Amino acid sequence: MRETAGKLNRGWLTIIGILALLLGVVGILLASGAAAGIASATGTGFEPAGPGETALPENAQSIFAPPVAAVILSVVAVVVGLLALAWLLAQLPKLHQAGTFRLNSGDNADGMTSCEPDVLSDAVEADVEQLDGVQAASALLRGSASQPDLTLDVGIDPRADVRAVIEQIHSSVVPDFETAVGVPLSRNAVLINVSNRPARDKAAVV
Amino acid sequence: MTASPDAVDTGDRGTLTISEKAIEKIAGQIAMETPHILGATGGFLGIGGHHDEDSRPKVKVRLHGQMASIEVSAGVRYPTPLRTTTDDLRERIRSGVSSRTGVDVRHVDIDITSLVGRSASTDRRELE
Repeated sequence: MRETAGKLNRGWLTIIGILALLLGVVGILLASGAAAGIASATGTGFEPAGPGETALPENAQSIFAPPVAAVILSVVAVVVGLLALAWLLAQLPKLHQAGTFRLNSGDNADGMTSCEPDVLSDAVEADVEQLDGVQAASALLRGSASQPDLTLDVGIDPRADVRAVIEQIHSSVVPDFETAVGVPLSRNAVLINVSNRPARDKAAVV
Repeated sequence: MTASPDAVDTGDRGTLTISEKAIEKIAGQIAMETPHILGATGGFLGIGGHHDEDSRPKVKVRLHGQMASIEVSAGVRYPTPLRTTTDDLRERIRSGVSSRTGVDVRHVDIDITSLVGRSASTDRRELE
C-alpha cells in the first residue's frame, strides 16, 4: 500500500558505486605503478605519481590557503548535507492518497460538492469491519472522483472463511462504494492478513 | 381591485432586515429535513462528536446585497448516491431559502464531513 523511494535509491547508489569503483581503480593503478605506463602508452603527456610518491602534487595544499576556499568548502558541505537529508526524508513511505473528491453532477455554477478521501475510506473500513470474521480493515483511496482506485488491507480471524470474506467485499462493500461515488472503481486490490489471535466478542447478535 | 384608503404605501412600512445567522438557521433546518443528510452533535472541539438526523448540519452564509452564498458541512448516510443526495440538498436549500426570505441563493457549496453507515447510526443492530 505504501510506496518507497526504491528508484531514487537505486539511482544514487549506482552513481556513488561508480564513483567509488573509479577511485578504487585509480588508487590501484597509482599504487602498482601501472598508471605511469598507461599514461605514456596513450601519450597524454601527464605524469602520474609513482608508487613511492604522494598521489597529489606537493603544492596541492596551497589551493586551500586563500580564505575564500574555506567559505566555498563550507557552502559545498552544507549543500551535500542538505542533499543527504533530502535523501533520508525520501525514505519515508508515501501513500499517494487521492486529493479531495469533487462530486459535481453538472457544472460548478450552482456550487461544488467536495468530500475528503479520508471520509470515504472511513466509510469503506466501517463497511468491511461489519463482515463476519473481519477484525480490522484499512482502506486507501487513490485516483480521482471519476476514476477511483481502492486498496483494502483486511485483517481477519484465523477461523474466518477467506473466500467468503473476499466474496462479500466484492458483492457488498465495492458496490456500496460505487453507489456512493456514482462511478465504477478503476482498480480494486484486497490484501488479506490472517491474525494469529482469534477474535473474542463479548456479545452475540442473533 | 382598488387599494383601500387605509393602506400604507410600501415605502413607509419600514424595513425588514434578515441577518446571516437567521439564514444560516433556515438553511440548517432545511438541510436537517433533507433525506440522508445528517448533522453533527456532541463532542468537544470537534472530538468525540457524532452525526445524526436530529441535528442541524453546520451552515455558513455570506450575503452580498440580496444574494447569498451558502456553505454546508454535513454528514451523509452511506451508501447513498452522493451526487444525487447533495444535488437534492442544494436545490432544497436554494428554493427554500429564496422562498422564505426573498434572498437569492446563488451558490451552495457542500462539504461531506462524514459518511454514516446503516449500523453506525446507533449502538444497536437491527435483528433480521
